[in-house]
Amino acid sequence: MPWSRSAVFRAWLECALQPRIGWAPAPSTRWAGGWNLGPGPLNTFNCSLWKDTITPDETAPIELTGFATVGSVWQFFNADTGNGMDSTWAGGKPDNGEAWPIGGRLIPGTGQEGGFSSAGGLITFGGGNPVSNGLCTMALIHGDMVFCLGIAPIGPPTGPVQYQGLAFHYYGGEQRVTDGTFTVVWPPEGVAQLQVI
Amino acid sequence: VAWSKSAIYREWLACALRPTPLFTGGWNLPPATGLERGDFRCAVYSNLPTPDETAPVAQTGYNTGEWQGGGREITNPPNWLNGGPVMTGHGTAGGFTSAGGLITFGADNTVSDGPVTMSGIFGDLVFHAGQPLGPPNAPYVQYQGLCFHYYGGPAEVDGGTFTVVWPPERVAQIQFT
Repeated sequence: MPWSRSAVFRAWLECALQPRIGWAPAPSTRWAGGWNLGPGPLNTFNCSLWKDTITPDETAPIELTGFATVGSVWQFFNADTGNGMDSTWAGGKPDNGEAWPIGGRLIPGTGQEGGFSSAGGLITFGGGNPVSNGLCTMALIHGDMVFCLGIAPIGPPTGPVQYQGLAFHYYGGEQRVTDGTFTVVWPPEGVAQLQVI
Repeated sequence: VAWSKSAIYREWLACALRPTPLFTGGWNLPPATGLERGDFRCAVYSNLPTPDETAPVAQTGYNTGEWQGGGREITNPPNWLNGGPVMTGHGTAGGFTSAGGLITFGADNTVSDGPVTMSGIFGDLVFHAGQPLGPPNAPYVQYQGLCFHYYGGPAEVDGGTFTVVWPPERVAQIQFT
């Protein structure tokens, strides 16, 4: 059953609220997933694109929420999707060389540029629209996964899984582009939003 | 309007998710000397506060915002002091779980140090006793509140042990829907 919804990973909140489980024994070590950390890779989030051959689960354990994590739906080097990669496909993930590389495109407007707000009943992760690096041709795009490039598996700053995912978005159907610019347009609610009710 | 609900502070989540400087509010951080990292307390109040889970961070700390002013906090020294007892069952003792659609902040029931006489208790504020003032934690507030609980009506005790019994959902719980 392919994915059919968008969600924030429970593990993302878990790590933010409890930055000591299973890693980082040093008190000075912190979880590196803050939307407004920076400068440097700590504040770098990417948007990767995916086919409908996966079934994301927002309640997955931390270890299965990273981009390209072995054993997760985000792994594209596994047996189910094959190891073969070319300029068009990398396993289950649409790819078109440098225009929209494996791992996706940077989400601007985070880190020290802001993007995070907390007001009323809402916590919002805002960012600029990720745009392809030039013209590209891609098809069978059904959604994306937003992850932090700054989270490494070992050593401070650290986290329990490399390239930990913040959220994934289902696009409601296939998106494609032919020799054009591909842009992920975030809704007014931002990249992700939490509601306090 | 007196309070009528229980809630987690939005700013507790925001401070953890943002976090510009180090956020020291982790539920399972080990306690240090005195009231520092890893210590949470449970203070109890009359019906005068009107807590708001969407309040700005500066108004979510113990003795700030709705939690300051005469006749609000209820105490009975020496067995229920200002700020309430230090909570147990978290820190290095665990208490934090993340499974299924739930993130849970668990702890032991909070018990007075001995017999107390208190009345008109309508709820509590659970706050982090280790949150320091000033840089590097400037965006935060000292003794920042995690959540508050409304008891549904007045609770009282006359020369006995006062216990805050946490429900099966524990001290606080976040649900993914």
